[in-house]
Amino acid sequence: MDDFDDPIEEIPENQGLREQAGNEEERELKEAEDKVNQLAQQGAKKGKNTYKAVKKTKKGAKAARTGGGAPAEGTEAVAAEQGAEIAGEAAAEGAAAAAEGLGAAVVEGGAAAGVETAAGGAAVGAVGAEAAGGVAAGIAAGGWIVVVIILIILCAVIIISVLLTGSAAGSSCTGGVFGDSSTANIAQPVTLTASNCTSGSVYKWAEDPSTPIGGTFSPPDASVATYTPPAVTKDTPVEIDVSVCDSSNNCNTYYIYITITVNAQGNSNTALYWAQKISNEKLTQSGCTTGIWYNRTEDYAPFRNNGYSSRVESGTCGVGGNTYFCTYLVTDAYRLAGYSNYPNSGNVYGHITAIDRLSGYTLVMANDLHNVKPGDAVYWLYTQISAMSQMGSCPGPACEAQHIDIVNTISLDSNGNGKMVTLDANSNTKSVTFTVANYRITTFKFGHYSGRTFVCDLCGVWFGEKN
Amino acid sequence: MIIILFLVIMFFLPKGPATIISVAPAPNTTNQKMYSDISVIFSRSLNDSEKKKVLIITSPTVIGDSSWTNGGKTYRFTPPNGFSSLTKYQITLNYPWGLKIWAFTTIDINNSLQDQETVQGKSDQKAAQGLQQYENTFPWDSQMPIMTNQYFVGFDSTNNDFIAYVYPSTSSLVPIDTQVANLKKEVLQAMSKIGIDTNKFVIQWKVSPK
Repeated sequence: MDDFDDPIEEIPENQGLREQAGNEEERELKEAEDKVNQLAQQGAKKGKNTYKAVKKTKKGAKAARTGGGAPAEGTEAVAAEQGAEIAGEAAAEGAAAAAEGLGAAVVEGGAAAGVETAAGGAAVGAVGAEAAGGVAAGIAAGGWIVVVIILIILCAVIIISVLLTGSAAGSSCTGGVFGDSSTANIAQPVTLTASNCTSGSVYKWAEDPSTPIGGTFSPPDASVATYTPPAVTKDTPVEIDVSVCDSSNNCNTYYIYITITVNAQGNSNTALYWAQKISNEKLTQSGCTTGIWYNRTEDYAPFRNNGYSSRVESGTCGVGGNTYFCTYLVTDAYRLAGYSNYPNSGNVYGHITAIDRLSGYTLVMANDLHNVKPGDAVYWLYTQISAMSQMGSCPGPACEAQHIDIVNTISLDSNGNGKMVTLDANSNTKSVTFTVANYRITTFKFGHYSGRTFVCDLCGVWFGEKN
Repeated sequence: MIIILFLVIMFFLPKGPATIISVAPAPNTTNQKMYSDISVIFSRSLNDSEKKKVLIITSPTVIGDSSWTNGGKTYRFTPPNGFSSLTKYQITLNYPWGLKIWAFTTIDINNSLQDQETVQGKSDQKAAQGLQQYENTFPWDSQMPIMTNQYFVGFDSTNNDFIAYVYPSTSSLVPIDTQVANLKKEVLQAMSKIGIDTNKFVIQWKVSPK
């Protein structure tokens, strides 16, 4: 990095030039130098990940500076001619190096303009060669105006080159990404490492957005992260991506496949594990010709755990009993996981009032997903007026549509934007995806019936896990 | 012959007043199920003219459907949404020969699993219908939200509009305004690609530089 910074530090050497010039020329020269300095700094910034290339062209840069600085020392034409010659050779070398895709040449005054592609580097290098020679010759001839014009043209070319090449590849990890195991489960996380990456890189770990399963990364923004998957009921491969970016947000993405395995011993103490298991292995359609809902579990033996047995229901097409209600899924999942005091109420309103009295649970009476995680229960109450004032008199507006489900996955970015996927029973689908914006659910799908879109006055989440 | 004649005469003779034999829920009872019918059994079958004169009034008011069973001897009132929890109802029954008034109190729903589940069954039915209708109305929603590392687009079903966050880069040499303009174009293209008519919806743009 020191080598890279040298050109910027040496720019003040040009002070001698100003001492030889008249007022007008001095002003023009100063403007030109300012532009050069500015470009040098931009070049330095862009050139961080082309350190080697810049280092390789450093010889050219120093030679160019020698050439440019000769007249200031009063050695006049001979020195200037030598400077021009050396500068031309050096800049040409810089151009050659740049043409290899490694970096950029250095312009008069010691500006290192690192660029990121062969094409851009070659272009800048070639211009640098021409310009450096021209500048030296111009200085020797005393044609400061010509020098300034050349410098301005050079600046424009460099700016265009930088802009054209600004979106090219960013930080790289030559060692790729690897894990300390090819498998993981909720009880046995895997440590992932992005190896031999460019210094100063910024990392962002994520599951493949097309097939997220709700795992977590700790920390999510370092070269080494621990990935903890959610509970699964069958072995599930997952693609994990790490985006490695430089300071200009130019990124490269590396990926690895990890197989998420079932670990009944580790999983069976979570409600999510049982909710997924019931949904995947027991919940079936009732076979109605209309309004086909997943509300029967009679075809399978119940699950048993922690002294609790899941319900076996025959399922019906209508409203009546023997149905595996949405509330059953939540109650079964939590009680199988060992939460023996979890409410056994027959409707959502009963769940809310019961859990509000229980210690160890958090009831969030708001549409706020800041702390929501897979396994949490979500209740939905739709009404056209304030639900709170009506809840004591069900059936009433508050009871027109009440539903409960369990968060299967939730993936939000730093702005709280993303989606939440739920597991549902007694509905026409086993899983529903909701849009989340700024940590708020924005798609209230259950309330969109009979041509009315109900306002969710009291949508919220309760955290079923012990807090 | 005499017997047949007697029956015909009896059939056409005006009938005497019918009396009420029983009502349900019984007067002054408590803990009545929220989802139960009110029924009234008369001493004899009522003809159509007499049935039309039977009128039931509940206080508080409950919407329900009237029907006759048992050959016209039993009147039934069925509130599809049930009665409210823990509420005293006064029932007034007008019939051609008198007036019957009685009251009963419903159970606290928290103490009636059966009523809770009936409520839940109805709610689940509506929720499922709502979900189905939502998917029919917004078929593109199955592909929402649209997320990249440069923008996010989600639908707001309450306001019937879209929320679009664009994330221009603060470290880019391209001016923020230019980035935003380019990202907005990308967002509109992505929305159109999944079948959203962007001219029909308002888009709330939010810029969040990263």
